Formats: sequence, C-alpha cells, structure tokens
Amino acid sequence: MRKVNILIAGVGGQGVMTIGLLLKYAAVKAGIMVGGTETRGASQREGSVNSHVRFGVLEPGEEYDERRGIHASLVPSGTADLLIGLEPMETLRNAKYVSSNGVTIMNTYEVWPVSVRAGEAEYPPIEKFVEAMKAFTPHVYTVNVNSMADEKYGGYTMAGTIMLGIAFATGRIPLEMHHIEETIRERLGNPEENIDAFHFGYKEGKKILSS
Amino acid sequence: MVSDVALNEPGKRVLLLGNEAVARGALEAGVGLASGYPGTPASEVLDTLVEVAKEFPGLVAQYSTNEYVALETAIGASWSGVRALCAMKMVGMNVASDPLFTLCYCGVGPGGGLVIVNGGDPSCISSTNEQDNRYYGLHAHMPVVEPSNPQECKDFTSTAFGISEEFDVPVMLNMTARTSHSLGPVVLGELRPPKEEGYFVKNWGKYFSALVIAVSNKQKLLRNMARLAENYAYSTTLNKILEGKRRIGIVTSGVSYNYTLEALDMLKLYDVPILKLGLVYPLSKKLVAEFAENLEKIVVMEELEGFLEDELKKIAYDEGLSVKIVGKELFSPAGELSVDDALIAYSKVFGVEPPINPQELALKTLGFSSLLMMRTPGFCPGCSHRATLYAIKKAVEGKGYDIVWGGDIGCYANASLPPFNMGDFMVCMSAGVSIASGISFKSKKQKVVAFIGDSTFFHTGMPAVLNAVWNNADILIVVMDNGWTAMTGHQPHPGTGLSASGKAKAVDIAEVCRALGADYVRVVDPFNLRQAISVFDEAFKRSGVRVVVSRQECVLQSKRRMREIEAEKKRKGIEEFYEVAEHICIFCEECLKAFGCPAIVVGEFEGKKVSKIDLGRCVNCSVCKQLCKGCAITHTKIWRNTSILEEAKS
Ligand SMILES: Cc1ncc(C[n+]2csc(CCOP(=O)(O)OP(=O)(O)O)c2C)c(N)n1
Ligand code: SF4
Ligand code: SF4
Repeated sequence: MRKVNILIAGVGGQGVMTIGLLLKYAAVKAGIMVGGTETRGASQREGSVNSHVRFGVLEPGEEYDERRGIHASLVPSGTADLLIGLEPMETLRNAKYVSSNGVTIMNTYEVWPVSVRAGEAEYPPIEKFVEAMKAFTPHVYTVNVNSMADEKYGGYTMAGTIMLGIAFATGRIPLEMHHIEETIRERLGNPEENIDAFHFGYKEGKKILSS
Repeated sequence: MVSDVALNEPGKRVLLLGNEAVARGALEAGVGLASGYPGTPASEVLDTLVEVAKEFPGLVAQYSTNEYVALETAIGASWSGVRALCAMKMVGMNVASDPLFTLCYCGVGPGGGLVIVNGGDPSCISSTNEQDNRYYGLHAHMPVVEPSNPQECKDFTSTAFGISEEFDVPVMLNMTARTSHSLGPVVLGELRPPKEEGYFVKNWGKYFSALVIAVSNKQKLLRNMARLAENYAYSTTLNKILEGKRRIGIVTSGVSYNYTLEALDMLKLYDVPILKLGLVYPLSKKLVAEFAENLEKIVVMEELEGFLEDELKKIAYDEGLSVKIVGKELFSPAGELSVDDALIAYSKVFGVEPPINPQELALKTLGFSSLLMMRTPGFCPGCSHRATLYAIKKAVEGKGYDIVWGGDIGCYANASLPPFNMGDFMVCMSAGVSIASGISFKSKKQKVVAFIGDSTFFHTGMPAVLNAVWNNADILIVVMDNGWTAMTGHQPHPGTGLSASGKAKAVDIAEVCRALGADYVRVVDPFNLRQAISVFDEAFKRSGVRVVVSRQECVLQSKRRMREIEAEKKRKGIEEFYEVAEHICIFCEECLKAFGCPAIVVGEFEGKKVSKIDLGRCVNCSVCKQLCKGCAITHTKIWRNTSILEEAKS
C-alpha cells in the first residue's frame, strides 16, 4: 500500500481543521483508505493547531494486508509528502514531519503571538523560516494566501480554500479534482465562492510551482 | 459527522470521529439512557447522543451536574432494565469512583448493561494529570475494553454492553484523546431501538450493599470475573493474534497497536507475532501462555503505566513461563507515544536500521527553536473573564494587599497567564475554594481569592462554599458566571436555563450562595467596568466569606445567538464598531498590555506607534473604550441604508 501523508499547520481559527476534514471526506468519495486527527480542545484558541491526514492507496492488483495498512492517525516524523503551512512559524514548528522529498507550501501571512502583539518580542523575518525549512526539504514555496483572498474576495475567509487549491496543484494529493469539488459543495457554506477560490488557488499554484 | 451517526443505513461506510463512533455503537446496542459530565477528550460522546436523541424516541440523553451524579443516574436506568452509558474524562472517574466500587459489587440490572466511557489524556493535552484509569478495572474488578480506531470504537461499545449483561458488571471503555479524536471509516451496523419503558425489579439482596450482602456480592463479582478471564477473555474476538515466525513477539493495545504496525511496516518486518488486546482487563492466562509458547521475549507497547506489562508478568510467574517481558524500559510512562517511539524501540529490539531517524529530525527542529515562540492560549476577544480580571486588578491597584489567587478549572484558568498572572495554584474542579479556605485559616496576613466558574460551581463548588461559610473562612469567592460550560464546548449547566432536552429551570448562583448562608453576595456586570471595580474594591475591604458573581455571557455563545440579529442589523444598514482615534492615542498601552484584548494590535500613525483595533476580530464589548486613559477609543453606530426607508414607504 502506498501511504501518502499530509500535514496542515496553523493557528486556531485559520481553517486548519476545515482543510484536513475536506481532504478526508474527499478520500471517502475516492474510495481510498483514510485516517488522521486534528487538534481539538483547549489549545484551539490562539494556539498552535495541526491536522494529520493519512491516505492509503492500493497499487493495481494489490490486496489489502493489515500489516501494510494505514493505522496511526498521526503522521510519523519525516514522512509527510506535503506540509501545508498557513502561518510561517507554525510551518516550521511542524518541520520534522516533512519528508526529505516532501513539498512545503508556506503562507507568509504572520499571526503574531501575544508577546509580539504586546511589543515584547519581534516576529522573525520570513527569510529565516524559509531558510530553516530548507534544512528539511529543498521544495519550499511561499505564498500569501491572505492577501490573495483579500484582493479577490475581500477579507480572509477564502484564504484556506485558496491554499487547498495551491496544495492540490502540487500533485501530491492522490485525489481527483471532482472529489474535492463535490466535498466542498456538500460540506462548506457558500460553496460556489469556495469552489471558485479552490480553482483560483489551483491556477495560482501551477504558476508558483513552475517558477 | 454527527448526522451520519443516526443514519439507518446498515452497511454504509461513513467517516466518524472515535467519540462519534462510540455514540453510534451505543445506538446499535439500543442504549436507553446516556449521562455524563463534559470533559475533553470524552465530551463528544454525550454531545453526539444529545444531538441525535430526538431521532430516537425512548433514548434519554442528559448532561448531569457532575460525574458521580451521572454514574448514579446511569445505575438507576440499568437497574430498571435499560441499557445505560455514562461518559466522562479520566479525572471524572475519581469523582464517580464512590458509586463505582459498590456498583461493581451489586452488578447491573437484568438486560441493563452499563458501559462507562473513560476519556484518557496522555500528554495532558487538556488535563491536570495523565492518570491511567485501567487501574480502576484492576481495583474495582471491572472489565476494561480498549479500541484502537473508530470502527472498533463502534463495535467494541456494542460488545461491551453484552459483556456487562453476561457477567453482571459494568464495563469500562478506555479511550484516549487520540482514539477519541481520530477520524476514520466506519461501516454502520443495524440500529436497535431503545427500550422505552423500564421497570425496577426489587432485589434487596443484590442492590442493598452492606455487611454480608456486600461480601457475598463481592464473592459473586469475583466468580464472574474469573469466569470472564478463563473463558471469554480467551475466545473473544476483541483480542486477536497476528501470526509470525520470530522469537520476539509484541503485546499491545489501543493506539499503540497502530503505531506498532506502522513502525514494523517501515522496518519491513512482517513476521513478528503480535497479540493485540481489545479486552485489556482481565487477561486470559491460557491466551498469554499460548502466545508466549515459542517466544524468548515479549515487548509490551502501551501508553502511560506498565499495566499490561505487570499483568503479563504476573501470568508468566504463575504459569512458569520463561519468556522475558519488557515494556517500560523501552517506552516512557510519561506523555503519549507515537510511531516514532515505536520505530526507535523496534529498530533496537530487532536490530534493523530505521529508514528515518526521528530523533535526528527532532534535534534539527530544536536547532531552530529561537524562531519558535510559545503560543499561550488566551481569552477570546471580548471574553467576559478578561474584563472581570481587569476590574479586580484595578480594584486592588496601589492598595498594597498581599493576595493569594486561587485558580480553578475552565477557560478562566488562563487568569494565571500574562498579563494578569492571577492564578497561584490549580488542582481539580472546585479545589480553588477549599484550598483558599484552608490558606485563610492559617495565613492571616494575606488576602485570599478563589475563582470558580459557573459550571464548576454546580459541579462540586456548592459543598465547598457551604464549608467556607460554616467554618467562617476569610475568602473572596469570584464566580466567573458566563452562562455555559465553555471550555469543553459550551454545554449547558443548571444556571443556563437549558438542559440536554431543551428549556429548563435556570438556577441563580447568587441565590444559591445566599441559601448556602453567605451574607455578602453581589452580582456585577464586568462589561460595566466602573460598577465592577467599585464592588470588588468594597469586597476586598470586608472580611469573612464574600461572593461576587461576575455575570456576562461567554462571547462565543452570545455571538452565535446574535448572528441572526447581526445579519438583520446589517440588512437594515446599522453598522457598529469601535475604533482608535489615532491622533488622540497616547500609546499608553493600557488596552494593549494591561488588558490585552487580542483584537487590539500595534499600528502606526504619522511615524509614531498607536493602538489599533482589528475590526475583523473585535466583537464590540466596549471594555477598551471604558478603560482608555486618553479617551481615544470611539464607539460609532451608523444608520445608512436608505433602501429600508423605501421599503417602509411602499
Ligand atoms: C472532574 C472533572 N470533570 C470535567 C473536567 C473537564 N472540564 C474542564 S474545565 C470544565 C468546565 C468549566 O466550565 P466553567 O466552570 O463554567 O468555566 P468556563 O470554561 O465556562 O470558563 C470542565 C468540565 C475536569 N477538568 N474535571
Ligand atoms: S470560549 Fe467564552 S469563556 Fe472561553 S475564552 Fe472564549 S469567550 Fe471566554
Ligand atoms: S471593543 Fe475593544 S476590548 Fe472589546 S473586543 Fe473590541 S477591541 Fe476588544
């Protein structure tokens, strides 16, 4: 069984859980094995959150074998094919999960911890995070999905869905586009705008990845 | 998804959370009463049953005031011959332990299986300790069942009801935060309609546990447990063996089984014999002896304490097995485990190089720790707790008091973090009031404050307040009354005016405190800062038991309720917001640092720093305007939709 691991990281309220759940529900549509977990409870408010997504794809002719299946809901260190970071610091906090050949997409929109907001500390420059991420994988891409969302849709509501589109453009997600579209239609409020944002992200993603 | 839990489509494959799957399992077992008290990670079990209850006539699903009351309620249903489920987090089991032990002696009612769902929390993701409740099984003589994925959560819950009835004993379903909050595919089974009508068949010799009855009850319990261990534990499909040729085998359960399989897959070891236990207490001697027959060594992978390891060692000693058993020397008893831990341990045990070195990756991340700041959890923008704390801070400012701040459990526990630093201890629900009382009896020079949440007050706070009054403690009790059990997902409590089934009597905490004998009881609105500050000022000057109920709804809930009103306002063209007038702001940082609303950030105006309100996060609570020293914060309310006038005309 080919195991595909995806980690989504960010701060509570950024839509980490929504992206994770969308991918999982889409996998049920695609009929592949799926598992995972997301941060719930106390740490959701202002805290670091992540979502672990695990897919299992049977190779042609392969039969399911329990010993080779998807069981753990947590991604093992160094095995994530894709790290979707909705915030620079949170991307780096989860760096150990990404595989040495994995792709990292890092949103450069900063969410300041209390200490920075209160002027007691400074948020490090973005380049430092990019440089640090490159110690884990050479495939590090940066975008600012918040400003993309704000420009196109007014406000940050669509930022997460745009990020999902960009992530899908990496080709690391073993699903078809329609699986995600159908899931968005079933599970999200304002589906038309979300699908539009997903396509927009996908197109932008193709550009970013080829640059 | 919660809505999938109630689907009457046997055979359908849906994606469920572990806790939702437990709820489904209970429905497939025909559960007739579900009770509990919220607590992460167990909350969604009862929340789900409460949500779907209207679709199952005959199912009573209710929140209780605390865990022992919840368990006693479930006992009543069971003894009326109805299947009952009771859900709680692991520290809740301590609260419920008083009825628990005797319940095991008495057993369950005819056809009234009783399953207790325990939400364990290795790593203390939302708890004050990580106690291992499998020991309650050992101590109380209660079977313990442990699932490892959502499918098993559903199946094992149904099975647990059967075990409970067959062996006349409650069964504990042992979950952890990971099993509770993992999502996975579940194939649905048949729903079984709950028994609508129960009947309590009298049986004095079983239910009136005292003296000889208690002893004979215990003997019956021990016989049943022995029968369970000998026969059922050997043949049950809750346990399974994956065969293998190696001389080193693995015994594991729950999430550790998942980690074991994945690590062995990474190490390409497919011939290691594995005994996966679903019934983790009691164990079958025969099963263990057979599994160990050709083995030199057994590695036990389990989270927290070496519970299975010790049980296996007891069996090995009794049965004269020569196999070496190791566990906790490889896996830490502190914190949750992961595939990484399994990979490290098994690569050592089997002498195989791992494809990935998790320790190296963790070290590499550590190298960048200067870039990683802590994100401490805080109050939401507009949280009433923040306003209460600020009012108290202002009331005592410059008074030179030496104050002990007694903390307690709930969102308001964040009082102990900057900028307030008003929390010197936190132990368990309601301990704040009683520990504060104890301090006040012996430390006369200090002023002692105890914070307590509203749900916590109803949970176990009332006897603590009564005790303080009775023994004349010298404490200020601040009830953080936000109307909900906020921290665990906004469940109602006796003060909310709602129960799980709809409208209910709302009990007023201030009246309860008066009835408990407190003479000084005041109610304040923390969003009215001047009033709140003056009441706290007065309360600090007095002695004896003083109660201030600081009342204002949790903003997440009021926002949710106001959503429609807000939409209506917007439609009518009413716009309301708070802003900092930049040219007036003197950047004293009172709103930013002393108060610390996350909707207030640092901005810039004509080259100088100013405070700025992030309109996307502000919820219009008005408190920053009240505290602004330079009167720079303005409240604007605009009506500007002319279309409504058109509407009115036509
Ligand atoms: C014995 C026990 N049961 C349950 C919990 C889980 N728990 C943590 S905080 C909390 C409720 C707090 O509600 P409240 O006192 O109203 O404070 P709020 O979160 O609303 O501020 C609960 C139930 C616990 N810690 N201990
Ligand atoms: S959930 Fe409610 S009580 Fe808890 S921090 Fe947010 S506003 Fe405050
Ligand atoms: S009114 Fe002021 S204190 Fe209240 S939420 Fe808005 S910015 Fe925060």
